Amino acid sequence: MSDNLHALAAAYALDALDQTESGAFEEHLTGCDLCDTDVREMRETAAALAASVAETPPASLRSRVLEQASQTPQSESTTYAPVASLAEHKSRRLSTSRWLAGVAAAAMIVAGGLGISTYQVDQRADEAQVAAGEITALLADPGATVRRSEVVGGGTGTLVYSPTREQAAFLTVSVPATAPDQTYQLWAIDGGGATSLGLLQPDAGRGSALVDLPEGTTTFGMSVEPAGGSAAPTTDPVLLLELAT
Amino acid sequence: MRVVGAKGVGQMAGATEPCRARLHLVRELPSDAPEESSPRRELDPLLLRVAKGDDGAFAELYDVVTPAVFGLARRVIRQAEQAEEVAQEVLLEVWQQAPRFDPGRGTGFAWVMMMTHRRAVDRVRSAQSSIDREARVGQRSLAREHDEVVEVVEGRLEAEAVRECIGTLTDLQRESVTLAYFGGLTYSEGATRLGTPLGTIKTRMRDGLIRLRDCLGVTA
Repeated sequence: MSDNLHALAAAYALDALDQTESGAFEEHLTGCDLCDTDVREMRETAAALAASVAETPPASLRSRVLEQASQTPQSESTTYAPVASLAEHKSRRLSTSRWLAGVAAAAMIVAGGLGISTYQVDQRADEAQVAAGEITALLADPGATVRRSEVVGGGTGTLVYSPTREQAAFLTVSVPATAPDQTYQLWAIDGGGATSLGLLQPDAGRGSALVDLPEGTTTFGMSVEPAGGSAAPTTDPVLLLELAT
Repeated sequence: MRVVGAKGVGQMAGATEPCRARLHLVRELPSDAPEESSPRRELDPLLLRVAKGDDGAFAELYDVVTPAVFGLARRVIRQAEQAEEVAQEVLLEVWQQAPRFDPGRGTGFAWVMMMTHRRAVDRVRSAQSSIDREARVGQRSLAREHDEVVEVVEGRLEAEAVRECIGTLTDLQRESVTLAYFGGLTYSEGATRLGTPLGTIKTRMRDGLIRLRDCLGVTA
């Protein structure tokens, strides 16, 4: 299997893998230095192809970009890990989501208007730091949208998603602990049903997760499921957040 | 300065030498050749200044890299307005993420192009569900579309070195690489489109990119 995966370095560098394969390859990449070097070289090569098709952009783009940048805060200098390690995941979807049980959102202020939020995250592990950086970047995005609602049973859940909707951060505050044989599970819902985004086990009511929303997601949901999670929701959701259309 | 991306590649590979000769040259280079002198590294010092919030450096970086960003987005999306939107998103992402750029993990140019390609491909793929795309792949008109992508791309490969190197690939290697990179297709879509088994495309894509890598003298 690892030989097969290794052979995918080129396709990965060309963004020619589908979501599932891409997730599997990224997992493989975390333990394969040779693949890492391969991917880097392939990326450099692909970039050379890009250089060969350079084209003068419309002149008006320059002032728009510089103006927008001047009003946009930069990310913290946390260095990205090549790929955040994927702790626990069972479904294929989960392999592309990064889950962080136990990262505590200590304080969160959602500032209206611009949709910018600030919060502190307990940075206990490297993985948490990477995710915190990513969440911070998401929150700093002027185009990010914030959705917040009360959770059935207590507490609140807040979802911040990027303008492209690829990525979203979900944070809970003061939600009740589930029974020991249960867990919170997060869902991306579209016309066709619910796709699991993974499990969330808040610590003292506070939980956070960085998720990749599948294309076409219209609603984000959370339900209480048997420990280990379910393939599809088996209980009524305790939280539903509609994404802007 | 504005088309420096293309110029950089020409310089990098030595625009007029035949590819095979370069291949030897590259192999003989000491592994600790100074990276700073490489044109591919041109963007790195600018990015490191941008990382500190230097907006003057960002304006310079814009001029250096935007033609390649816009050109790539345009090849993949094939629609100028959307390509411009993607270019704007990418440049802003570069500004935001610059503090996290790590020169030890590759050149700044490759970093920016990776962001560009991902966003462009996401655009193309989200335009239709994968089911739609699978259905389209079965249609006859696609053969024409495919030829168009390949021809347009090949006709426009401006940097001589890259064109030369691409010329050393087999047809299937070349098509596998260009359909993925400029056509935004997954390799399984490429296989369907070219009527080739999955494993073959995977191998050709890899062989093609390796040959390009060696021909262009790219090291990580």
